[in-house]
Amino acid sequence: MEVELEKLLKEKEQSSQLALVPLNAVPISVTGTAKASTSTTPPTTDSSNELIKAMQEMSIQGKEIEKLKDQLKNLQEQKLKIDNSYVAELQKSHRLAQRIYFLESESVMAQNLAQAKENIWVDINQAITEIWPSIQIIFEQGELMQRSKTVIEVREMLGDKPSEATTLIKVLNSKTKEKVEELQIADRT
Amino acid sequence: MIQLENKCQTLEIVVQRFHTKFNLLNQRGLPRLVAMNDKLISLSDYNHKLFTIAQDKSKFAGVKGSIIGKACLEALEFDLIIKHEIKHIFINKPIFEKYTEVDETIKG
Repeated sequence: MEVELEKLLKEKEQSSQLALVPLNAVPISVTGTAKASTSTTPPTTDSSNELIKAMQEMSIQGKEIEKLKDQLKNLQEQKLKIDNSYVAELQKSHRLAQRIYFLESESVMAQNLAQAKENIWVDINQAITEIWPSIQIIFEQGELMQRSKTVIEVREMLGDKPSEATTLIKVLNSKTKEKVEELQIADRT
Repeated sequence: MIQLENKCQTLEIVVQRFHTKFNLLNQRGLPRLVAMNDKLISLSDYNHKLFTIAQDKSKFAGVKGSIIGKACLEALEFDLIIKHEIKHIFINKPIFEKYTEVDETIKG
């Protein structure tokens, strides 16, 4: 678009220069001829109208040229800005590419994810083996806890009967066989 | 009687804490410690299970090549958590001594 605009501008400028040459001389010749015409031949109104018309066209074209020049200037400024930002982005992209390359080469994990996973699980296996005695103790403690709970429940059910039984055994053991028979107890056990 | 109950409660807390932690690790992919009858399996069996998992993990679906950075850490996250938790599962190693100084079950 910019190229087209420049071409158009050149064409306009050329046409205006071509038109300017005779027209610059027109007012002098017109006045000259006008003054002279008073004495010689009178100027035709058609030619003066044509000249005025040509001058008006000229001024319109001149304005148009100025306008196009402004547009061209703006476009050139925009192009400069885009060029600058493009260079900046290019540099940024280059820096990022360098950073990625650096990180890839530095990263330990970059080798192989699957290998890393396998290594971690081998470590877990080793750690489990190390704590296995403790795990066994925990499970044994769980069993011990269950047994203790059973004992507590049985004791609660029996109440004070174990101590009563102990006292009874002591009483029976303190008696002779005859006295036990007197008490109508057939068997001491 | 009260002494036995107290010991039983302390024991229950320790055992329960271990099982809670281990259940969380089970959810993250660590195999279970017990067999069908809720008994602890043997170490060799457990090692075999872990070995199988290690082999499976090395055949990690879809990702055979090298990945880096955050994606790599995310892919290894659960494995690293399990490894860390296993290494720190026991704050104090469990012992029987404090529970069996007086064997209440036999004394009774």
